[in-house]
Amino acid sequence: MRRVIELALVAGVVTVVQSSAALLAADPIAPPPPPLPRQLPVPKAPVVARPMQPSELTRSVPRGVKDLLAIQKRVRLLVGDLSEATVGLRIGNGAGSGVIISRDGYVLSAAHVTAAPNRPVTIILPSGKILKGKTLGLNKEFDASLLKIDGKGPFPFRPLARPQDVRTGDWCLALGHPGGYQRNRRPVVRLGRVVRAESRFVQTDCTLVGGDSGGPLFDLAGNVIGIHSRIGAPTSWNFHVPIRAYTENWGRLLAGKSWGRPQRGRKPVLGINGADHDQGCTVTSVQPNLPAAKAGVKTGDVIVRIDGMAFQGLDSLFDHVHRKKPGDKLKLSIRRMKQPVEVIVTLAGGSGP
Amino acid sequence: MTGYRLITLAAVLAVSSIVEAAPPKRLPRDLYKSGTAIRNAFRPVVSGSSKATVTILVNGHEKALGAIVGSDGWVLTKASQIDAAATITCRLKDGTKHAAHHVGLHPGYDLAMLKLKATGLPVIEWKSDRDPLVGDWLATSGTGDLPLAVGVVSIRRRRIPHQFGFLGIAFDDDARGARVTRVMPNSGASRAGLLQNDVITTVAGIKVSVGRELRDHIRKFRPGEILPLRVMRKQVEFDTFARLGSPSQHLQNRGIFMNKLGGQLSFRRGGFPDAFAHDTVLKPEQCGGPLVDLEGHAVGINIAREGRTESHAIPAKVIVGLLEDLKAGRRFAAPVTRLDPVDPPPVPLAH
Repeated sequence: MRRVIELALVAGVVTVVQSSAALLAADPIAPPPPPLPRQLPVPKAPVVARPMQPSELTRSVPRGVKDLLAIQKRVRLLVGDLSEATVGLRIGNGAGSGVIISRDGYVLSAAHVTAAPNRPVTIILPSGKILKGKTLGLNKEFDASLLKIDGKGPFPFRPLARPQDVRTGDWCLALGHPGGYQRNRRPVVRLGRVVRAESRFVQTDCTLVGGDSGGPLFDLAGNVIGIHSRIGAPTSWNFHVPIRAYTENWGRLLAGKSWGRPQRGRKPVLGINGADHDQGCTVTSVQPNLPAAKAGVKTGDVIVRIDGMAFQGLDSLFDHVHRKKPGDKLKLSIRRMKQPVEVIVTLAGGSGP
Repeated sequence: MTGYRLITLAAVLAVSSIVEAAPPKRLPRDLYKSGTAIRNAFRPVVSGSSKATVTILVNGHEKALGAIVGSDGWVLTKASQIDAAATITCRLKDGTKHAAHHVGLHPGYDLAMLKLKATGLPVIEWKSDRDPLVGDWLATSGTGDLPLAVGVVSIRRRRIPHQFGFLGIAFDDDARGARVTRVMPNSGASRAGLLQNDVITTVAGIKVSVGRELRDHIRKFRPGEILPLRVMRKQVEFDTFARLGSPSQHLQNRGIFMNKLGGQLSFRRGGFPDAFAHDTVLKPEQCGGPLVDLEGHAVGINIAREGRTESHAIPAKVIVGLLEDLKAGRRFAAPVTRLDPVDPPPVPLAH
């Protein structure tokens, strides 16, 4: 008998687009990095120094509409070229994004998008033009990978920024294909700022979602400063592979080597999803059988204090949780239907949602 | 006094030069793209539009924003956030509250025209001659002095695909129609009283002979629509109504999970004939109001929080073309995906 299930079919549509390109929700606060193998890349990655930027683009707080206009003018100037270099990728059943970084067609992406060296890849340009290519090396520890488009080009490209030029507070543009490449939709543009520039990752408030993985983060000089990798629940938890993961290993990536393991220690898990609130954060869902649910946290609760401290925004709560260890206790002061409630949560351990 | 000032200034200079030399490891929250310090730079941008923005309360709860589109009390908003049968109140920037009633409706764009008894209200200034460019700044006006949030245009205007409704059952084929094998809790099906082994024979006037037909037919409707169902239970046939939900309320997969990270999504967020997308992080109840460019002109109305990365806006050009019809009380036909129109509960039209 033919069995038709609404549920399975609905789920199928979404997974085809995103199966292997889904972002991870990993812990950004990683242990100190193990020393990288010192290897001088013989062929050099195409890296350029950032030219001097006008002060309107670098001030930590824009001085009124004039500075906002300056940012907008620069973004308008860049968007066309940045889009041309941003591609959609299809590899096996998965989809993701990438960026062309040389005239002869080298493409950066994320290791969890390409998964292995020497795989056939379909590269989709913003115009809809389809090209063939092959995956090269992967740095799985950093989630970095390299691909090559077949042929010599010339292809539209954007160069890499020098790793040391990426600074906290930089304005940046994230491009990519959220949900996977869609016909009649150019690469989707998001503007934000670098929240943290660490040696192991770049964090921004450019929101990302599944399908963006492997896509580029640009500075306002139009150079690539990161590759989209993973997200956490707060909208400011968007993590990008830093450029040094590519430049310091360029020779190995070109040679098609695959190495390293994703950093997946046991992370403290609370088990809620939420949104920012003026006085803390709102709980938008509670994951069953995880600590928050067990302690009686409910959807709609407003968490106003954590361990007795006032805080602002979901990211502050998550930062606090990530400073703890699985098994640690946490006191949440909650406002529920205008009534104060206090719960003690014992954090669990896990590798993400 | 002068000495004190000098010292303060020196200290500030010293601090700022340190900041230049070694930026803080972590960007302070108020410097995030939509942080207070950045939104503060948009203060002059929304000085006009915030006076022409209202907060809409439905039975006393803040459910949406609205844009004043006529000085004699016309307010445009997001239709699906407003239960037309409920008590609707608009709160203006000056704090005054006005009772409102539902006048016109465009189900495709999800726009509703409300009328309040007021005159001399400030009106939204539209920029309808051309769309904002991808990457241009946009500010979402609230009724405060700062915008609620800011962002940039992410995707130029296009048709937003139909968002299909979800009944909440699993089913098998049966000689008489589609036999229900499972009813999902809290779904439209469970609230309609469907039980396991019921056989659905007719949906919105169309007879279904196999399960696939049932599914395909239901998918032509949107979340929130109310479908009449004819159901057979142990040889007894009866009629019921089910309000469709959205798949993301009931299903869990990686895509749905990730899109909900960071806040709730609008219940109605698809099927708009023409909309552009921007990256502003909005709450569902922050939709319905004006979205302005750096000149303070409204380039659209926020119509949906669609996912983690996108909010949708109906372009000003579309809106300007609809205003007169909506004020005249016109109720536009639903989009073509619908075969058999099912009206929402009756709407009070008179004062």
